[in-house]
Amino acid sequence: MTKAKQIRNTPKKTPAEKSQSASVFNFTQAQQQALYASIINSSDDAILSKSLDGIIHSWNSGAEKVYGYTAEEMTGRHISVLIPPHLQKEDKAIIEKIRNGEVVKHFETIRIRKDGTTINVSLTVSPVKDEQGRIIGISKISRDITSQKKAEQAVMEANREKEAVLNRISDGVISIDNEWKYTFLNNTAMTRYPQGKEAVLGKVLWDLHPEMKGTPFWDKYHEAMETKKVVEFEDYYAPLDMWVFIRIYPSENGLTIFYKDITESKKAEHKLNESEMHFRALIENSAEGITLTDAMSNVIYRSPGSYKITGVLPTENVRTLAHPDDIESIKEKHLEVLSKPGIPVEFQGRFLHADGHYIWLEGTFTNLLHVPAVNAIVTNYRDITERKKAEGKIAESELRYRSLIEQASDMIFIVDTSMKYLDINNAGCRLAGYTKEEFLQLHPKDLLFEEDLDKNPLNPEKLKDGQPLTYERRLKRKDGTAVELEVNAKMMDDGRVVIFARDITQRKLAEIALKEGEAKYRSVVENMHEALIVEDHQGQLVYANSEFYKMFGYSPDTDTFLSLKDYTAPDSYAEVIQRHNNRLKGLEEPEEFEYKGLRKDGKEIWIEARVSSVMENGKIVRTQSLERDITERKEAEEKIIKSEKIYKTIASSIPGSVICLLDTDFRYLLIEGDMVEKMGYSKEKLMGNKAEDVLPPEVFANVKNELQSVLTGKTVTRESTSNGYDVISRLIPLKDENNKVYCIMTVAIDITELKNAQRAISELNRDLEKKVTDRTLQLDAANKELEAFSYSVSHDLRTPLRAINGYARMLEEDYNSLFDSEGKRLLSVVQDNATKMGILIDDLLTFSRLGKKEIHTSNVDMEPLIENVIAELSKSGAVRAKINIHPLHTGRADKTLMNQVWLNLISNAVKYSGNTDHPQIEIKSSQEEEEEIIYSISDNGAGFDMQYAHKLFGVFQRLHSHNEFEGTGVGLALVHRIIAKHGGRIWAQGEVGKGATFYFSLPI
Amino acid sequence: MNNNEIEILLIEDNANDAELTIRALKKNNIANQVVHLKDGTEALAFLFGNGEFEGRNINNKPKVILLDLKMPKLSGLEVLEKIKSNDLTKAIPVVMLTSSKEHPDIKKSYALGANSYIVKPVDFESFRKTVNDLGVYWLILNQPV
Repeated sequence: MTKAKQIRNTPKKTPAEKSQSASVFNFTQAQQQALYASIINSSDDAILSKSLDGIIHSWNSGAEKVYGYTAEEMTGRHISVLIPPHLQKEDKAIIEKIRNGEVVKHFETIRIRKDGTTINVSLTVSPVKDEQGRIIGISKISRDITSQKKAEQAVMEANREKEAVLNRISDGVISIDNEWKYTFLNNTAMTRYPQGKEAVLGKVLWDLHPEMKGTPFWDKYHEAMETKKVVEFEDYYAPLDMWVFIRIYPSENGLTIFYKDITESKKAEHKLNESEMHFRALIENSAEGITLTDAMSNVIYRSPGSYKITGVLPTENVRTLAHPDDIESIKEKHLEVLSKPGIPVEFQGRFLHADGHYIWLEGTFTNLLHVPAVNAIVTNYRDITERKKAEGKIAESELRYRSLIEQASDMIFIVDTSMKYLDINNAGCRLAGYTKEEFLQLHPKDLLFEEDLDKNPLNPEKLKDGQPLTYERRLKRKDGTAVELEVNAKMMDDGRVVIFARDITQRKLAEIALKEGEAKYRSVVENMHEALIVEDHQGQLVYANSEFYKMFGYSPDTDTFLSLKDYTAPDSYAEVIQRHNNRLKGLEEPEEFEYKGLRKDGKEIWIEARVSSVMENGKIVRTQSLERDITERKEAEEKIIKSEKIYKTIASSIPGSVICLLDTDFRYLLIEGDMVEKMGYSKEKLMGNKAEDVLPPEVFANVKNELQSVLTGKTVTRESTSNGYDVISRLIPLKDENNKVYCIMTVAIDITELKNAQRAISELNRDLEKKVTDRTLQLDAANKELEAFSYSVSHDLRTPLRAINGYARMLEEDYNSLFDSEGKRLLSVVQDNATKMGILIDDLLTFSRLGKKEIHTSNVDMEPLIENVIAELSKSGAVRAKINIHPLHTGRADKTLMNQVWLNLISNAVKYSGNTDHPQIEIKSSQEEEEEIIYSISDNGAGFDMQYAHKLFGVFQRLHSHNEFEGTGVGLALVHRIIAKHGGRIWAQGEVGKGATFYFSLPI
Repeated sequence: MNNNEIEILLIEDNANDAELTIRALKKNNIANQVVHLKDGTEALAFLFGNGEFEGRNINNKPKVILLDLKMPKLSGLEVLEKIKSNDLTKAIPVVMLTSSKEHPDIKKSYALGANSYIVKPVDFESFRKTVNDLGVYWLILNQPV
């Protein structure tokens, strides 16, 4: 409200302004005022009006914000409250100007806020005129520019700082604007202008330095100005006799130019160039390739020699590429050289020649990156392709030679002059019994027996004249046994000695043996555990040692003139004679084979023979054979083969089975049967291999112990699952005649179906059990209902019955005299029937109770039981019949129930024989096998027709009318039920008028 | 209800059975003072002198109680339990009346302290005989504790 009032104090508009406003807005004056008020109040600027003498009339909300005073506080007060003391004059000057009709715009000054802080403000002050144009007041708009001022100040300070920095640096720094006028020069730059900054700033560059026109300076400066990109260059600046390096940074406002005096370094460079000439001359005339590269392997320089080698022109700065196989090693060398400044690093490798093929280069890298004059990695190299080719050939022949000596069956080894072993072939290793590594560590002495030490025949002196040396010697093998060798040694040009040695043990032995009279050697032969046989061309036995005679059962004294035919089994003879003849025709190499020998006693034995030829004067004159009896082994083998055949047949004829034979090392000798693949194994993989190598480790771990126990003679049965098949396996030891296990047989049968059936059965059983439980629960429930029913029957039916009977009785007692005889008869019929119904209900209840009654069996002595029953019966009525009780078997039964059975049966018999003249009842028992005891009770009464026999034991079934015999028809049904509960049977035989016999049995 | 000495308290809901029982007792001249009550609630009120029997001399106790097992409201067993658990009444002999000797409640009755039971037979003669025997026993031979 107050504000609205104050607005009224704002100057009135001129009529012209008014009409204009009105024409535009079509507002009433009041509306216009409101409009202005809202505009003014929504301004952030402080808008106020005051009188010419400085008294404030209006104060908008912007003024409240800027100065902190409210309109109420300030209206009517003097403006000087806002002006700092030292600026009081300033306001007076402004007012003066306004009085003169001037407008003050954007006058920046300082004012004080209510809270005492000072603010920078920008003032726009204008006069307020009345309709006659007289100045009646002042309007003033103040804008708070404190933050703007602060920012300006910060920029200025930063500029000052920057200038200080620029002034401190030794490079010259010049800034020029887009009109090429100087805007800044640092101290260094100013040294060129002793006349002072004023003489330079604002001047055009090209005016001050016309000499630059047409020089690179002109071009570069313009380039930077036009492209707005950093430009760098160096050049000689003649006016100052100075080399300068110049870097020009373009910006929106022009260019900033940094320049540096590089005269000194230029001079040094020039000097360097001179000495470089010398070296260059050397390098360029060198046949070696020289390449300079920087740290990144970029080629800086390539010598003419390099061109000759690599085919790459010195001007082509391309790298020479290493062969893919050599890249890694070259890279490694390169890294090494980078880490070792000044130290040459040698390299060798294949590199790509300009014409596309690879050449071998050898040389050095030297890291001279740290030497300013060079600042490169220097690579010196030469082409060694030819040499490499030659080396390759040598290596090739080396390889060929190597394979030759490796294939040789003779021992070949090399020693140097210091008797150190340098090389040995495989055959040599085998012969000596050492590995190659071991052998090369040996000293010749290690291969000699002590007694041979002094006669080492390898005398280097003798070898020196280049003649081969041949001699025989004994070699001590690693295991201490001896090998006889024929040695041929030859010294090569380089002093190394190549030695060929051949195993002549057999030859030696034969030779020794053949030297008759040489008892010493003979004893060696004679003591051998192998039979030695020497035969001539005709197969005639020339010599045999004692082992032969032992083996074949002959006597050296009596069995003379033996020949091949005598000690060879007929079915082996053809083969043996064939071999014999072949040998004599010129086969020198020893051979091994097996054949069947024949003992003198006619027994055939298996022999393993090693036959060689005996030479004399280069001709084969005899054969000699070392023989061993392998019958035992053969027989075991044959046994296995035979059992194999059997088991193979068995296995292949049993569907769903696998039969395996394993030797004592658990090696598969036989696998047969259609289950192998199904169980996830492969016959091929298992066959001939050890179980531990081919079975899955977890499977082998399971059977290992079992297999081992089978080896001790036990038979093991195991069930397992393999590949989804259930299998039962039997592991059986096969024993020879000495009861030694020589083989394991495993028989596995697929019992998956059986297992499935078992599983199905146990599942069914579970179901069944559940069903039984359910049914039992149902039965229990039914029994409960039945019990309730029984109770209900016994109580509810009997109660009215009791009333009928009781009241009839009362009638009879109290009103007897009023009844005539017919009335009395009728009354007694009522009573009789009521009584009968009571009995019927009692019987029925007894019968139904039996269903839920559990039986407790014991051995029941039947005779006293029956006697008691008869005594009971006699009490309740006359028993006319003569009852004959035969000796009875003791029965296993529930005594109480058995009492009921006899009671019912005997009372039945008594009842139905009641009309007979001489009623007689026989009670007997008999035992049938070990199964049951049969009791019987016979009477000579009314009997029954057998065609109704099946109705005898039904509830309420009667074969006689009430007139004939009283009864409810429950008695026999009850007996039947009791007997059935005991697991026994009941039946009857009878004939009308001749009596009946009831039988029942009790299980033992 | 006079204060003459009560000899037999018959608790029986079935009027016919009650009449027959009383008749049997009378025929045997053993019960001149028979009180017949029709249910358990009434019986307990009578014995403990409350409800409609407020003020009755509760020390005038029956010599024997014939109690029907099967009754509406309070069953015979419940009534028996109340009688046998109260010092005032627990010495009174209680004979249970039942329709069947097979009744499962007979066992429970003994457990609760019943002194005997009578099966109410259809045959009135034997019923009379049984009642007679029991009545004589309990009224004449048995000395209350």
